[in-house]
Amino acid sequence: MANVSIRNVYKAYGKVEVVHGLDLEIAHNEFVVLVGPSGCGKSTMLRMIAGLETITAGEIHIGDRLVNNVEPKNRNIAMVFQNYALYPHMTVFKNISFGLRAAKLPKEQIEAKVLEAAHILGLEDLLLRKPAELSGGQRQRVSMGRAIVRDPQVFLFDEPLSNLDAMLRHQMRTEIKLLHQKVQTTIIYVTHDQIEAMTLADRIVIMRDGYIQQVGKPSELYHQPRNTFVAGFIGSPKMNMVPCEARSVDGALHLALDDDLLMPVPNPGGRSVREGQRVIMGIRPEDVVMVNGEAPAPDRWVREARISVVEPLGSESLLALELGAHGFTGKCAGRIEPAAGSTAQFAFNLEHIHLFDQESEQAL
Amino acid sequence: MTAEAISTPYTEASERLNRPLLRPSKVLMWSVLMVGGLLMVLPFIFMLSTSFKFNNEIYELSLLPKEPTLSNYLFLFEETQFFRWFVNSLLIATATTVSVLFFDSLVGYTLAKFKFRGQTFIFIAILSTLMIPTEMLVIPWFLLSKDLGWLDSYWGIMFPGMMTGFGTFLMKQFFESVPDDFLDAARIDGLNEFQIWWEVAMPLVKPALAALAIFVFLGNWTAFLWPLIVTNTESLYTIPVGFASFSGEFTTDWELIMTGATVATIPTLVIFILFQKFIIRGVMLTGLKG
Repeated sequence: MANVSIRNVYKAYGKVEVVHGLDLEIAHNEFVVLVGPSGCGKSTMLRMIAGLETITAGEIHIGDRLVNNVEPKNRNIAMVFQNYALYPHMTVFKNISFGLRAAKLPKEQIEAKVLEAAHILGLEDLLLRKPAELSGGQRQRVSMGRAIVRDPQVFLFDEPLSNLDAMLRHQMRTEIKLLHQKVQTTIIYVTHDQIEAMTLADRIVIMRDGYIQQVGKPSELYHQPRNTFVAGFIGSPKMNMVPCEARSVDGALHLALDDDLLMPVPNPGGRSVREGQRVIMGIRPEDVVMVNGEAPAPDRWVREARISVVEPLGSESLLALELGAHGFTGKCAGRIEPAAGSTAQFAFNLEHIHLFDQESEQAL
Repeated sequence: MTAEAISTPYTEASERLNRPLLRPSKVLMWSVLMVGGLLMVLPFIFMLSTSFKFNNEIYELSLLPKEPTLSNYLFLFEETQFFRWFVNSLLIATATTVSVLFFDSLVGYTLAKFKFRGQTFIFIAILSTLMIPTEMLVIPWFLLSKDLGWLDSYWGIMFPGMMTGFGTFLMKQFFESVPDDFLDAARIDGLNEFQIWWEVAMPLVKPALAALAIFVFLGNWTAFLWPLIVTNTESLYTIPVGFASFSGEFTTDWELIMTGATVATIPTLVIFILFQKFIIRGVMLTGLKG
């Protein structure tokens, strides 16, 4: 069993504390992604698990073992680095077998392990090449090969796809997912790219300024963000967020986006919003859809908005909208080609709005 | 588009052919370069030519000896300890080079890749040794050698050059450009810190090592002042010190000095030819003259 247990872990550089009492339980064979903006402490956390950074306070357990004072080589982990960290003076074979040779394994065993890893990753034809003769994707596969041959209890990935172009990144995401299915090992993966986090993770850990903001399944984080940071970080394009005030109109709770722009709040009983409270209303772009011909569902809130920018993506288009004094991002089907500067009706699916307290930024 | 504006391979080629071959700027440039080149090569040709001259001809500025002779070479190898001096120089230059490469890169790596108390102070202290000229150091070196019984020994000649501030500085700068991920990957792979330095970091700074090796080897090959001071026994002389013995109070055997210099140039020439690429890169990287 290779569960990873992080208990009240702190990290400080001198007087500057960068990780503040982190608690996280990662189950055996789970794929956990630590995600957050630069400087949020995710890489530091990963390096502490790897043993490349000391822990200021707290405990890290890998399996049943407390590893706070265990050398990286003895933690039974393998790490894939952002810039691949392939030794340029060694061939692919030597790079993959480097750790095994350092461990003085028998030659036949080393060869067998390297060939098996090369087979899994499709590197058989590249074993005699040097890293400089490989493409970015091939280099990343070699660095994964170097990790696989160690048969680690835990794989650590530190932004492994950051240096790849968009198409290759997509391809490598699939390969990493396949790898996880094949090797059946716990994976802790660090990235600042929320799409990577959403597509790869069993569970996502969102971090900011050394604190965990929310832990959950990708769909949980997307549909039930705990605060404005998570709501804004997960999802592309970002969630629309508009500061407004809760008001009671004819006994029903509304959100006053402007004085004359009142949005009704469905199911107000399920939310702890009080009249007069300053809140932030969040709605995802897919819930702001251009009305085109067909009448929208009766529960939709329909308003006319000016389209300022059209971004065609093929299957759909993203539309930058102006509604009153507020800007929104909405969507329309790719075949509709609205003109920038025109106005159109937009249906807001209020069932999916999110409300956050303006002061605490926590979900209501 | 007009017909004149269309550029075809034919018109381009004919333009090239019609271009004057000898443009004044090119002529001037090549002339200056040729004069510069000649000024550089002339002393070497003169050295080579003098080595084939008899003593009575050496003050004539002719490049071709009137009666070419090998007697200087025979005298040098048979009547003097030139071969021994050659071996001494080779031994000392090689040993100091190996030592400098090992220790300077070890210290440079430590300063570049580890954080410890007093790091900046140590680095500045090492760097400040670059400001002290050899002439100022020879007296302390001599007193130290005398006290420790190192006078007139190989170790006495070599010890001041076994580590250099310049080499440490150079290697530190190069190791700083080695990404930490390489070292971390090796740590996870199970190497100890010494192995990481030797097996991972050192191969990544080969160009810097080569440049440093050339500078140190040539510097020691031509070193004169300290070997002259620390040695008394003729069999311990290096080539430059041995040559000095050809120069007496009233006479100087220039033909022998030139013959010896010709032979002594061979290793440096070989090094330059073999490592030309590294020397140029080293000069470019360090901003220093070779």
